[in-house]
Formats: sequence, structure tokens, C-alpha cells
Amino acid sequence: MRLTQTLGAGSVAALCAALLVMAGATQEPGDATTRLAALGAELATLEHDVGLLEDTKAIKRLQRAYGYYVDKKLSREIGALFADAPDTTAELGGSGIYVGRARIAEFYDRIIGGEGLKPGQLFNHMILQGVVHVAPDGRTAKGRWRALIEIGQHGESAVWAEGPYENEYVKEGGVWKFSKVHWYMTVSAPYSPGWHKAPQPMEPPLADFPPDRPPTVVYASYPGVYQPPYHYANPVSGRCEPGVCLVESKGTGAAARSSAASSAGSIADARTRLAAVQTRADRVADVDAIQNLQGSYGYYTDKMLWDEVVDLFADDGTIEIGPSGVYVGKDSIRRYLLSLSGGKQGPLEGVLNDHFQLQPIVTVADDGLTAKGRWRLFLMTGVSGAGSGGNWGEGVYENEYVKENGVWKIRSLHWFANFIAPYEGGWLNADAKAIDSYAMGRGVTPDRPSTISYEPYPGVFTPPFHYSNPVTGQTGARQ
Amino acid sequence: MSRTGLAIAVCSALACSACGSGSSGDTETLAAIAELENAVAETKREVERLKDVDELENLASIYGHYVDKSRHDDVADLFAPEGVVEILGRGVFIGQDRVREYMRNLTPGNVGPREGSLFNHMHLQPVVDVSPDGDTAHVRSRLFVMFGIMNTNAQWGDGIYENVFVKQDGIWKLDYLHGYQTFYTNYEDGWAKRASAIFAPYERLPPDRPQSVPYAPYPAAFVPPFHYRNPVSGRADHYKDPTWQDTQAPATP
Repeated sequence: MRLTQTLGAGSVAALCAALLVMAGATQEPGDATTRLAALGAELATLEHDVGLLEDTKAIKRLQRAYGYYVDKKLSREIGALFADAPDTTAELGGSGIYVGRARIAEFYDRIIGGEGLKPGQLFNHMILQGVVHVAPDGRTAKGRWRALIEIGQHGESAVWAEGPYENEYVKEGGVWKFSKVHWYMTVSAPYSPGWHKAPQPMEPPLADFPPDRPPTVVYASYPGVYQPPYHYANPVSGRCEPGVCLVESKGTGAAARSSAASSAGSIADARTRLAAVQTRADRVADVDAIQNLQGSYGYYTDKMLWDEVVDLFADDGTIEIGPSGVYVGKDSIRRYLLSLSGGKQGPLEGVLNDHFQLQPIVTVADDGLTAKGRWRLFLMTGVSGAGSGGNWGEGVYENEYVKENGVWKIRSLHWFANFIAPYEGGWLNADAKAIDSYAMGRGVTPDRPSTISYEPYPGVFTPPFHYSNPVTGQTGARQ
Repeated sequence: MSRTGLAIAVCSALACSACGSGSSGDTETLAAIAELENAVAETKREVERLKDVDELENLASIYGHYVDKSRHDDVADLFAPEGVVEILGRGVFIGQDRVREYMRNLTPGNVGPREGSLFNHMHLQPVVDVSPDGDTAHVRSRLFVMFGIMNTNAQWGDGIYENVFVKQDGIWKLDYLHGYQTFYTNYEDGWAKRASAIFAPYERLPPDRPQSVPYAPYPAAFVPPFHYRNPVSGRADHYKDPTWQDTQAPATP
């Protein structure tokens, strides 16, 4: 035997004796019960931890779904996201506080000017940069987010606004809902001449629908200065500056949720529980993988690295950008993309092609083999020296993904254009023709016609949601 | 099989013959338990990686929220003691003390937001990869800046971060913050009309060493190197050189 040849028989015997002693320490007869109980406890911890991962994903979905509903002024869908509890509150900028779901729903309806976006209106409400902390017991959570806002009345006004949310969430009957929404306005200003010249103050409380309580805090938006308190201490140093950081000082609290399930059980029980928790963890990992996949799509597209982009698609993958028609299969997708950059790939001197991939809502099928994702594209393009300062663009993707041999790929990428507008004036006078020049292939023909025809801004169109309302579970939120 | 693995296999065989007198049911039970213990340990590692991803997403976002408000000490606190910052042509600053100096230098004599000043640092689109051992992580993310000084000027800024994080005593920290400038432009111009040249090192705060990757921002063509291989093809980093351009493609038709 090679081992004995190498080490000598005596060494092997000594090593084996040592290993047997070590093994004996944990494998005494009758120890099975103890080890099984320990396994049960380990599984309970795993189940609890995976539960918190799922909670985090569910809260991000809720918050991002809220943003997509605000985009289209779907006030009934927004109202339904709040917990039906007496201490549920909402407060936006200087509005004051509205209490209870019915009051909150009416507040949203009034402040956005009635259900449904009207022709000529733009109301983009991008939900970005989330910091989510779920309480150890998995029953409540807090989140800080950034809202970047584009408001418009075609031909009349265009406005930028920005500020953070500090929100709270509660899990009722297994479903996460808002228990508190609080948006702090940092800045709001007309696109022209910009925030450094004409910042707008916050709107006062609604006179004809006064709030139930005065504002939590009275402050001035830009050029005034205010630090909306953080719900978290510094995650590395633990520092928490009084007044700026609001962390409840009570202990972290033991994780109580799964303690009842930590009894030993049988080996068969343990196998079943392990398989179940593994599957749940895999679905969480799928969402992370798809976020990296779509994020990579954006970073590669920035630099027109079309070989890399094409590689992200399944062999039978499709791409449809606004009115481009549908290109089917990798060869076709490559032809289309190359046609957009004059047959070249890679970054081109003077060409900006930034494709921000934002606000993901990813839904993985139970079998873990397919998935769908809604994303927001925030676009900045431009050709240096061509006269214009560049272009802004915005719209929503509804994409499909497929897992092949354990690797997630894009099966269909479909961008619904909302607007492409020149830097000068922004979306004030956005012309749908600009979308054609952004999206249409040059000298190539799509394999299939467009799957849908719609009127982008200043028209009104809500790209169909692949998911139901995360609270009511009802579909059909579209116009 | 490794030498140790082979030794264990041999010993297991010996152990079996040694304990062959026990009931085979016990042996099977113990084997099944051992198998479950291994599988549970494996799943625990996977779940740790998933928790890491969430923590890193939070950390990347928290960085941006703090920079918004010029909370320089909170920003510097996010770094490991050996942490490094390299941003937008300013050069490389090594160690948390130097990082703190760099951050405080952004608004000399002042920590915290100032009247009339807007410093929004949106930190977006994270692509997170945790190393197999769970000790380090890379995150590519996007920087989008709204800058303003009341009645004076406003700017848009755009860039890419390729940041490295390290886990020390169970806490994720910034190990190397590397920000690439895509463009800064005055609000009245727009990036395609006039974009700033790459920022120069601060005269009042020279770096410990010059920037590690020489590049020119937009309108020059450059690709901030990716920390990751193509997530589908696995193709590696042939864009290591940010000045890479396609020289083999056909000329513009």
C-alpha cells in the first residue's frame, strides 16, 4: 500500500489509533440522541437565518414595488401596502403625519392628484440605495432608501427632487407591510435653472385634508441643511451620534422564532428539514445571482462590450429595446448591438452610453429554473462635441431569466421606453422620436415585430407587472 | 485523494473492523448523522455567504448616505485599519488615519453638512462577489453625484467604484475604495458639451502614492477593470487595461 510505503506501517497504526481516540470522543454509543438534538438546534438556527434573508428580500420588494406604483400614481396599490393598524403612519416632506391605512390611502390619492397618471404627466419615483435591517425576531424591520424623483408636465414643467426615506415595516400574517413611511425632502428644483439657482421649499400640509399630527420635525430643504436621522449605528465603529443616529438601545434579543422547532426529531425529520432550508437558501442565492447578472449587463453595455453582453444571454435569448422589434438568438442580438455602435465594440472616444440598472424586483420560480425581473433603466448618453450636453433616458425592463447547468442567463430582455430627452430642458419637451434614434437597429432587421405597441411619455403607459401586489397578492395593477 | 484523506480512509476501514461487534444499526445511524452534520455545515457556509451579500449591500449604501452629509468620521470609520482610498485622480491614501485626513480635507475645517451645500453621493447597482473563504469581497458599484453650492454652481458627477472589503472579527470593512471618474460637468453644460479633465491631487494634501491606474475620463474611452469574470461565459478580465479599445473591429461603415 502506498501509504504504508510512504509513512511506514508503524506510523499508520499510530495515526489510526489517534484518529480512533478522537472519533471515540464524539462517537460513544448512545451519543446519537445528543448529536441529533444538536443537529435539530443547528437546523433551527439555519431556518431562522434563512427566514431573515427571505424577510430582507421581501422588504426590498415591497419598497421597490411602492416606487413603481408611485411612478404611475396607482394610489390604490400604494394604500394597500400599509399595515391596517392604528399606529401605521405616513409623512412626506412637510406634509405632517397621517395615521391609519384609510387616512394614508386618501392622503396619497390627494397628494398625487388622483388615481392614475394622466397624459402629459411624468412622476418617476426611483427607489435606490437601500439599507435594510430586520429585527432578530423577524417581526419588524427598518430601511433607509434614497428617492430620486423626476416630475414633469409636458411642455410646462420639469422638476428634479431627491431625499431619503426612513421607513419601518411589520410582518402581519407572514406578509411584510409598511408600518411607517417617512420621506425627508433634501432638494427640489425646476430642471431649469437647477437647484443651485431656484430651489423650491417644501409644500406645507394640505389645507383641505389636514394631517392627523404635525410634522415629526420642522426643517428646511436645500439650501437649508438637515440630517435625517439614521436608524442604524455606524456598522463598523458602532458609533451613534445623539440626535443623528436613532438606535433603540434595548438588547438585540434572542431569536425566539424557531425555538419550538429545535427538538431532536428523527434522522428522517432532520433530512426533510435540511432539504427544505437548502431549497429556500438556494432561491435567495438565485436572486443575488440574477442581480449580479443584470448589473453586469449594465456595466458591459456602458462600454459597449457587446461580446460580453451577448454571452449573458441563453442561446435562444431575445432582446427588445423600445420599438426595436425582437432580435432572437445570440447572432441576431450581436448584429443588433453592433449596429448601434457603427460595427465597433468597446468604448469609443467621445461616446457616453451609461445604462444604470436600478430598483430590481426579481421573482424566482419555485423550481429555481426560471425567473422574472423588473428593473429600471436610468440612461445617460451623449456624443462629445455634437452640440448637445447629452441625453437623459428612463424606462422599465421586464426580463426573463433561465438557469442552465446551474448558471443564470438572460432569456428575454425587454425594455419599455418611457422617455429619451436632450440635456437641454430635460424631459420638458421630450419627443418620442428620440426613442427611435436610440433604439432602432441600423441596417439590421428584427426577427420578429415588436411584442406590444404603446405610447411613451408624454403618453401614459404602465409596463405590465410580472408580479402581483406584494401585500394584497392581487394582479391587474395596470391601466 | 490527499495523503491525509487516504490515511483517514484507511483508518475508517480499520475502525469498522474494530467496532464490527457493535450493532450495524448504530453504525448506520451514526453514519447518517455524520452525513447530515456535514451537509448542515455546508449549508451554514452558504447561508453565511448570503448574509455577507446583504451586509455588503448595506455597507455600500451606508457609505453613500454618510458621504451625502459630509460625515467624514463615519466614512473613515467604515475602513479597516490598513484601509486604502483611491479616488478620481487624487492619488492613493494608505491607512485609516490617512483616509480620515482625505475625507476631512473634502470640506476643510468642517465636518457635517453645510448650509447651501449639496453633496449627494448616490451609490447604485452593486455587483457583489464574496470570496469562497468568506474573508474578502469585491463590489462594483456606480456613483452618481448631485453637487451644488447655492447661487454659485452645480454639477453632475458620474463614476464607477471597484471596492474591496475585508471581514475582520466578523465585521465587514472597506479595505480598498477605488473610485474611477467617468465625468463631472457643470449643470449649465452637460457632459457631452464639457466634462472636467481628470482631477489632480490636492496640493494641500499630497497622496502617499500616485493613482495606480492611469486613465483619462470621458470623453476619452476607458473601461474601469472588472473584478469579476463574465458571469455566464466565465471569460476573464481582458479589460485589465482601462485604455483598452477594440483594434480588430471593422472600421465604422
